[in-house]
Amino acid sequence: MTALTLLPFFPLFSFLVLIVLSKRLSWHIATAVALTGIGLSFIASIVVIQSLNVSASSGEGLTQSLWTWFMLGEHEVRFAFYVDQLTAVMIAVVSGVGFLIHGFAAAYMRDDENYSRFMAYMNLFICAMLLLVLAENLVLLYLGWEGVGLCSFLLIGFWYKDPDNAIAARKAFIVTRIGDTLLALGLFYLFMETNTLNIQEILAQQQTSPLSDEAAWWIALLLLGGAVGKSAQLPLHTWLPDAMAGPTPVSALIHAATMVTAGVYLIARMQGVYLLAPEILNLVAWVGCLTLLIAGIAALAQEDIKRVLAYSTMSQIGYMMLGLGAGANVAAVTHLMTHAFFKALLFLGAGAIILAVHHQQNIFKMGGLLKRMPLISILFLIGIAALIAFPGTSGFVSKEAIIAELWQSKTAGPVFWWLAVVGAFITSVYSFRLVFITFFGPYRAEHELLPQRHGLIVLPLVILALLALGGGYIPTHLEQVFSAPVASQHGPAWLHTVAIIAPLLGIGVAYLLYFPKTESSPAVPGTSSVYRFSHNGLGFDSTYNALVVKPFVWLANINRKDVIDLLVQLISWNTFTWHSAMKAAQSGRLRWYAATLGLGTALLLLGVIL
Amino acid sequence: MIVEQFIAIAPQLLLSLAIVMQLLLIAFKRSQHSIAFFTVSAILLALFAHYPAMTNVNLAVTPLLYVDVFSLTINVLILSCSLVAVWVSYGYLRSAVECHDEYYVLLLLAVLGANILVLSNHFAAIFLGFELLSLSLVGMIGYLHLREHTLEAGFKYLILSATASSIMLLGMAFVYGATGDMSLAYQVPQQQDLQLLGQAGLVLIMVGFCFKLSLVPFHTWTPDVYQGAPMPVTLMLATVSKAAMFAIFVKFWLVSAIFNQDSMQFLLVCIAIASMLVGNLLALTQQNIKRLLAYSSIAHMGYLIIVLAIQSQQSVAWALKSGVFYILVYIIATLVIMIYLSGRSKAHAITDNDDWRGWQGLIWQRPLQGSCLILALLSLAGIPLTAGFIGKFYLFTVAIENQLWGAISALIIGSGIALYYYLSIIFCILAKPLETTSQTPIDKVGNFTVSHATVMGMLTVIIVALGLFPDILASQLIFQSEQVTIIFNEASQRF
Repeated sequence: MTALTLLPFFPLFSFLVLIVLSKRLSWHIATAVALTGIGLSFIASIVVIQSLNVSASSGEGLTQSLWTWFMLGEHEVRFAFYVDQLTAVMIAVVSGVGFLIHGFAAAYMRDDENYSRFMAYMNLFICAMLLLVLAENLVLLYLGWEGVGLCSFLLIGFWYKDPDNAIAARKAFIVTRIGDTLLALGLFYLFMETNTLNIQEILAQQQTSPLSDEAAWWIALLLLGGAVGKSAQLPLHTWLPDAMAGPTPVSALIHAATMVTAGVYLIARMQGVYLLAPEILNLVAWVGCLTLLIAGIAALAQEDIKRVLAYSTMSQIGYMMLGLGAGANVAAVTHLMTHAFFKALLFLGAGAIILAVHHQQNIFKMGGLLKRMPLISILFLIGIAALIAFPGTSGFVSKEAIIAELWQSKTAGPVFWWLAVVGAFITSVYSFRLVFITFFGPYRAEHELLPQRHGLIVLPLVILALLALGGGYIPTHLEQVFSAPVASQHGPAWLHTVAIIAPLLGIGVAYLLYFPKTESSPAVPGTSSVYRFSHNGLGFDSTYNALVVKPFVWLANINRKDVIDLLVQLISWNTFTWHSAMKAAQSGRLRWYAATLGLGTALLLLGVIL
Repeated sequence: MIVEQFIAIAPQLLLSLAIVMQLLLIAFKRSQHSIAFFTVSAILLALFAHYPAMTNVNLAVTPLLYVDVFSLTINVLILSCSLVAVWVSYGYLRSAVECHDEYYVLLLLAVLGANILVLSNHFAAIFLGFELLSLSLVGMIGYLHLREHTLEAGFKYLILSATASSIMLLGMAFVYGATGDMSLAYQVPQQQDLQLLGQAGLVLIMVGFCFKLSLVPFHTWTPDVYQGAPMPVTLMLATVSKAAMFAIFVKFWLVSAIFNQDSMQFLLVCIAIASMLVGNLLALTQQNIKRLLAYSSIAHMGYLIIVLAIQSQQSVAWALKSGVFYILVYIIATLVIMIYLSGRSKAHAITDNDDWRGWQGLIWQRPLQGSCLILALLSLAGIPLTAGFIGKFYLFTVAIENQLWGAISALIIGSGIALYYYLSIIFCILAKPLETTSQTPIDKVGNFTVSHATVMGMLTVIIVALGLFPDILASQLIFQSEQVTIIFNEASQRF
């Protein structure tokens, strides 16, 4: 199938064009190249999904083998793609939302001197992400996994001249690297146990000769380690808020819509292994649950509009993890998709606002934007409505579906249901805190608003807003991939009502707490210690600093004069000393040369005769 | 002598004839152009004469010479190198005033000596070839007698080489005294005291070979002579002389079944290890490229003679193959550098243009030449994807097969040290070009022509090709020297 074969290579090609020609391209040509690459990928995705739907009646996915990558002993590792309904959702989101974000980015980054390089990295990212989700085996998945990590690093640090951005990029890279290492270990273990890294073969094996309990436990745990690193879940979540140092389209594409959901995809993809280790599934649920609460609380105390959204992303991915842990796979993946729509909308909306207020990101220096930029504000509000699962939006469809399955789930239960509902309540509180401070009250910025200049800013927002409203009703046929939901009978009748009311309650609370009562009173950030504590992300950063970074730096400082270096220096010292000694013998005097000749002969004779 | 024997040594007969003709030609017309042309044709003819010789190998021509595939291969290599030598000499010596025609006579004599040395099967022939080669080289080294260092170098070489020859001659006398036989395949005597005499003789003969291969502790002459000699003569010393000496050392070692004596094996390994370390250490901060190549040749010859330390008959074929492969890639890489140096130097300058710091930024000014030099240096350093790596790898396999752990360690350490000075040169070539000063930039000196660059490029292509596909050559190098095999079978009974 040509479309499937070429799917991830369109952006790779446009990446090559952009990176090679770089500054020689004008804005128009670079934009055309970048958008064409992604656009072709999107069209190819649609074609692939169409043919998948035609052939899907049998329940089999499409496989496309390109070439043999290398041999692993007797096992062939192929460069091959596999598409089923889960992959279909992922490629559609990656290329579709990716396309819209690229369009926005073209306008947003227009004046940047390294525009081509930016678009090149973005295209490379799309290529890597498509490889990740299309991979037929875990080795190729790992290639994509590392590829997106690299692009994330490059793009967070895109404005590398500011050292803070470089530090944020490094932090993101190092923290996710911990997860990547765990994932690699998991892959090694998996290969040792099953003798293959082909995903479908592994899953098929579990039907006939499943892994031992212990092996499944460890493998599931190690893969979860990789997933929490990439998806910014507890305890490896600290990099995501700092990653907001990147340009806003990057935050929308990588740190909201696509890359951070790679962990969710991995766990969903390897569901067959997780089912063998219910304890780990329970752990997945706990990880998701705690992350969604902690991130929600932290979001309540943020002043930077992008950091609010970053914490909200963490918390929404927490919902997906919770769903996976509880066995609500269809709902979790649907939430992945709808979240990509509305979170991309929110980030791009935030980007449009930031652009209008002269790159100011502090919400306390905005205010009253509803009157001043009504279109963007209304689109942003649609995103917020989807985020808090307001009835009728896409977020409502997916999030309520997750929450609905928690009560009866074997690996979750009522406790999780309550925590998820509390999470939904917190979500709507922080969302509307953001809305009330940003869009209502007096205008507090120092400069006048910049007028919107480009249609490319608005058009993607409008399309994303439509998707955020209706995206929950896109048919995904995910139930063909996952086994039927666990819960057969429903819980008490009031569950549903409470779940719907909780977010609405949150709006009310937010109104009481944060709505600017009088036109004159300036909104100020809190000053209490509790506020500072949650502003700093509940102290995770400082804990890690004290536990890991400081001891490491301390050790590194002690070892500044590397012990091994001394050894190396010893070698070089020895070499040069001997060199000088030998050189002294090379005097140029004939009688000395003749003497060594005679001496050498005598030595050799002695050596033989004695 | 029958016809087959004439055919077998036809290349050498042709060379001898050509030397006489050269003398006549000089008497007839003194022209450097014509004598260079004549010399090239003679060498080409001798090369072509190897085709019929190849058809009938393993043939004794009088008791003095023995023709086998191994000797013929080395002779072809020697003739090809001398072809390059004649060609670069022509560009190098070309000047308005003098006519250097006798130089070519000496050159052809040296080549003849080298050829005879390689074919010899008898101590008398060895001595003959040895002296023919050495004395011609003495003449060539001191040829440009008005230059700095040249006479000094010639004189040093004369004295030391004569000393080494006489030591070797004494060794031959000892062996003859002990065995009553001068052929390489002599019978070892039964009496204890005569055996001792024979062994002493073998050591003394080995001294002669070690001197010519500039192995430690007989290496001291090498840098001074390399530096003092005119560039094309240095090229001869580094290629023709080394190849011939290696070949006869191998024959001497295998045919005389010396490998079977533990004490000799031990000496050889010690010499090899010492050469690898000393050669590389001496080269470390050397800034004169000719001296540096001299020092590195000490180390390379040390690597090379590892192939002699074999312990069983099964390893002979593989060891010979590795040895020939190694010396071939060593010679090719050396040729690339030395052709460049010859092209950049002139006979009527006071010295050759031989400070490698003058190569700074060469890659930016002359990309082709710069990259050829870099690849040649990488090959000498034994970096993968070049032929030098494969050569070293073969030596490794030989050393491991014979469990020479000491030699392997020295090879690794030596290669590590060598990287320092090879990489220094490579960094220099890659560095930013110097600001143009009052001095003439290096790429304006000498008679460097397009043909120099072409030959360098072709040899570099061979380096890379052999690094990628070593089997093109390695599969051709199959040596089943019958003589060696027979000796091996008898060896156990002889000691």
